[in-house]
Amino acid sequence: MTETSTPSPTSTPAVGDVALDVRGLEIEIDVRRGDPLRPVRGISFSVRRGHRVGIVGESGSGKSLTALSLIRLLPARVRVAAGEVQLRGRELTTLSEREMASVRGGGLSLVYQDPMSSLNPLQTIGHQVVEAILTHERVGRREAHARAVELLRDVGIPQPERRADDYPHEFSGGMRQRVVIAMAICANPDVLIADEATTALDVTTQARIMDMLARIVEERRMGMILITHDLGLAAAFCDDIHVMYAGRFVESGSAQAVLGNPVHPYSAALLESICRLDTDPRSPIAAIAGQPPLLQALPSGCPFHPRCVRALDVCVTEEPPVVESMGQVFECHHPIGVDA
Amino acid sequence: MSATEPVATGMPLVSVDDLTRHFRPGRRRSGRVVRAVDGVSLSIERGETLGLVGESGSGKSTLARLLLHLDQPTDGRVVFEGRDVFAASTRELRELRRKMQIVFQDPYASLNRRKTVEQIISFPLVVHEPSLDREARRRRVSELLELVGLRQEHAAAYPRQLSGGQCQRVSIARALALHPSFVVLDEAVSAVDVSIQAQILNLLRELQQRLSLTYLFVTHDLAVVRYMATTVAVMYLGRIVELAPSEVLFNAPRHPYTHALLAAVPPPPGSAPQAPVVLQEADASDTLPSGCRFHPRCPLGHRSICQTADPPLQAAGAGHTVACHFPQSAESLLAETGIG
Repeated sequence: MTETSTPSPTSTPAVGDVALDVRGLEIEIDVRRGDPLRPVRGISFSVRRGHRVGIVGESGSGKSLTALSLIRLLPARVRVAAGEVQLRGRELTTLSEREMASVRGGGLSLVYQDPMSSLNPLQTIGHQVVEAILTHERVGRREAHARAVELLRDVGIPQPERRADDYPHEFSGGMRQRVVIAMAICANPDVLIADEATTALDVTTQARIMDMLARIVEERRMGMILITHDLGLAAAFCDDIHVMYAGRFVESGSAQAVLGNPVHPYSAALLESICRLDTDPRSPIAAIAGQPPLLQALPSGCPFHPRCVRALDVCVTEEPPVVESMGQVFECHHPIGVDA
Repeated sequence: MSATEPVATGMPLVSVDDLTRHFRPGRRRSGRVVRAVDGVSLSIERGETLGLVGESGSGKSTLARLLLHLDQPTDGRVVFEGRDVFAASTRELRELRRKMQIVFQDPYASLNRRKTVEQIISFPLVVHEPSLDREARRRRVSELLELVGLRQEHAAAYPRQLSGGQCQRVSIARALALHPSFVVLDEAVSAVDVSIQAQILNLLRELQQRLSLTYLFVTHDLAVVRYMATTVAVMYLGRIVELAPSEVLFNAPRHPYTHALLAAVPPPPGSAPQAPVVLQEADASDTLPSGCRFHPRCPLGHRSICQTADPPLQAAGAGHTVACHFPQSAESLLAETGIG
């Protein structure tokens, strides 16, 4: 295992403990006319084994493209323009397509929001999990089937011997997502990425699946990236959090620090705008004015300035500096609670 | 409210009496029956917001569709402003439809992408008020845009040129075009971004005040329902299991299912995690459990009465009804089931 040359800005991981290290990742979308769009504009983070990292942002912030770029499944005309992605010291951006195929599932796995898009409706659950196992390992079918049943049990499918013969439509949404998770972890990946994996599920199901994921990540010492728009979920589940806005991490730090003491006005405003069980129903919620920016028309200076209540003149003209203060990293000219 | 209404004041705007909707999926001879809505009675007072919560499959959207006569019930009655909705003649129904409107979850799917915002908002006027000339329609659209916080330039835009939040504002403007008294909001903020959700919730409350609207707010998000609703109904497998004024339901819930729903909401960032109420995962089966339909998932469900007798909705306080053999507070439930 290699030690990464640049330590993560948010944490100083022990040697050999880093599962995934991303440096200066930039993604571009080629368009017919004009300059390429830049949905992700230079982000860096690392994921330690057994740790859970949350990337929180709204639609269009670049969080899902980040996930797809790590596993190299970007759609046509979208490409990584710069940056390094190292999985246990191995650079992924320069691997051949064939080498990358073995990394997917083996080193890095991705679970999407909609489990039906990851399952074949015409094959039994058991068959699909067996196929996933056989893709990564040279074992006999019988052995693979026994392993599949154990995996299904591990992700919380009751009576897995019997349910393995069922088809996806015979499972509830939560159960399907458990099956997809079983397939994603069958080859013990170093890092599991969950992209809004529980967003479409009911609250009760979501809570149980997150508990199950926490246990699995812990037991198998996997790193995990949770991509979500739900700050509450990220707060409850993650060790570290990166708040993403217009393709940048505007604030990074421990979940406790970022959500307990947000420094960036966007993180703070986002937290205040959430309707929570303890929101006072008698007064209006502190909503963030305006809309998230379009890629075609990113604002000058700080991309959040048109919606920011703390914006100064400098925010309109200059990109904010990257500031590190007490374990938190943020990009802001006029941060909260930090003397300028 | 208009004085010409044939309704005595003090009567609920909507009253639902033993409403039932059964579906027979698959082959007719299979005899399977899905009881999507199974004997629901409730009333909605003028100017109030009834929150309807439940997991997917609880029947909440089917109930909402029945109230608007978008579906035919198997049995039961809906009375709107003193008139039986399902007994109405075509002409009466047309009049009723002006007064009851709906806003759906997915703003992109519910807007015709080939029409401009102006065409979308003026369509109800074209249908229901054909005597209006073009100029009058245009004026009305302009008022509506202003009402929902959109700019006049948006009239010429197509849905794809707008953000999710802006599209939802268009849906709201369309729903208000005919001066309805009753609006169903079916997961109306579930698909919009966090920072926009607060804007839309504030807008909906402001509109309710200004236009004296009555809302049925269907959602799976308990925090949102607490903020919006005056009364809350909790639905489970086609039945209402608990109904109470909002403060009562959130401060002193009595049904184990309501406790479980509340416990599954991620705690507000920074606060201590609550003790969990453990709930079994629902299976994708369409056979209805015997006795109390919640008993297979209930922490108290092993008792024989729960497995044999269907609990009726019984009074548990002022305006508070619960369908449970052993209604109790969260503390006593946790003590009894030995968790926490």
